[in-house]
Amino acid sequence: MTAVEFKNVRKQFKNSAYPALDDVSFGVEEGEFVTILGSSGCGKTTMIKMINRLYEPDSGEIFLFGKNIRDENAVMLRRKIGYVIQQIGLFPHMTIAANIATIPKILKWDKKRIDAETDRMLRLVQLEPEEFKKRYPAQLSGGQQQRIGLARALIADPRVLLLDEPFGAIDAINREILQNELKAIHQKSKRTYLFVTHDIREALKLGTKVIIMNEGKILQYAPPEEIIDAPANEFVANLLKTAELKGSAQA
Amino acid sequence: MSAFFEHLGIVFFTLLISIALASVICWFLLQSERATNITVHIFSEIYSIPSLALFALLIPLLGLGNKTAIPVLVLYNQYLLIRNFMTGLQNVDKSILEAGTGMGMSKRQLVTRVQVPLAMPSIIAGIRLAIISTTGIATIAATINAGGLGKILLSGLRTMNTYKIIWGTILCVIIALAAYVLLRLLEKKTKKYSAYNQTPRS
Repeated sequence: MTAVEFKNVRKQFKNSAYPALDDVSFGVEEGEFVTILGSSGCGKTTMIKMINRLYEPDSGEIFLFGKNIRDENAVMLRRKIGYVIQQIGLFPHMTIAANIATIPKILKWDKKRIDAETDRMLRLVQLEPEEFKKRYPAQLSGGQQQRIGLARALIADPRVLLLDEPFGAIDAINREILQNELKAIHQKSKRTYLFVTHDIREALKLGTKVIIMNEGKILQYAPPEEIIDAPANEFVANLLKTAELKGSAQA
Repeated sequence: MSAFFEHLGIVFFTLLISIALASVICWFLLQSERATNITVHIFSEIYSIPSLALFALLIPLLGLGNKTAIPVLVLYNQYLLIRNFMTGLQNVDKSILEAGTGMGMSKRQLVTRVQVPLAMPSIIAGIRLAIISTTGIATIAATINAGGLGKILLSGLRTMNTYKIIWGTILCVIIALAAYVLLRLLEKKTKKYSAYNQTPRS
């Protein structure tokens, strides 16, 4: 089943000379881990923010599991989609447990279920519930905070998870660990992930498919091996060269 | 003593109406930063009008006594309250708001569960200023027959009774100081509560 589909989507911001998204069409099958790679300003963040309607397209349509996202209330739509951002955005006045339970509380789950799921989520992101539940976000390191961001996005078991450079501000060692954990979580859950990054190694390592973008257009959309073996054009080839990946199949 | 409680009553009522009105105005101002700046500017102009002049201006419309005094005091408070409320609400980190919106919080949930708690120190600071300002300006309301501690001060002035003037002043100071100390404590408590905001560790 197609989880996410873009049909001729166009978006141009005010005060911008060129469109952030220029007539973009593509589909993502359910269960894929799609990484979206491009330099800043290429439209990759705009693209995923349209899926949860933080931005609206100027023209074109977006479908989520076959349904046009315009036909649903934006707030209700967002509750079915997980969202993780680079700045993490934990609520500083709430404990870790309260942060993770934000959406379940809004959805009025009963307390027992919330407690059990909060613990389960903390274990999923490799944090000991008893040690972390009652702490506040500022008492955690950056890597730990992003684990909470991930747990908060995953607790309602969304069928689609959007991640906007989630590990961009995390040190290299912890980034590596988090990448591996995220990959493992995805493989177990079989949910659909869309992951924006400007780090080519990260894109090729995590993605089951990779979208390479430039100036609002998709240049190549293929599994990582195919991108390495057969870059669609010079831009992609040059990108691979900068990461010294050409010819080596593994990132 | 009756003047003291009368004064407390005026301050209390004024504050209740002021906070309610300011909250409603702030709810609408959250839509636009521009509208906020314009509104705060307008109320700052009103705040600069001498109270005696504003009382005199409104007497033909609203008559003597509390009917004029309380609306004027409420009007003055709007500047102090809206400015502080909005500063607090707007200073909430944009990424926190984006995360909240993106995960599916409605605007109301975002305001009540995230923005207001994080803005609490600034909100309480605004209320503290409003109490102190109202306590002072309300004494002038005695000139238009609104009662309160201003009555003692005025009659003291008229009869050259220093004793009365000093008593009236002391009682005013007690109200203002008590409000200051109480709300300062509350402010510190909420600050401690959201202090985790200020000290990120990486």
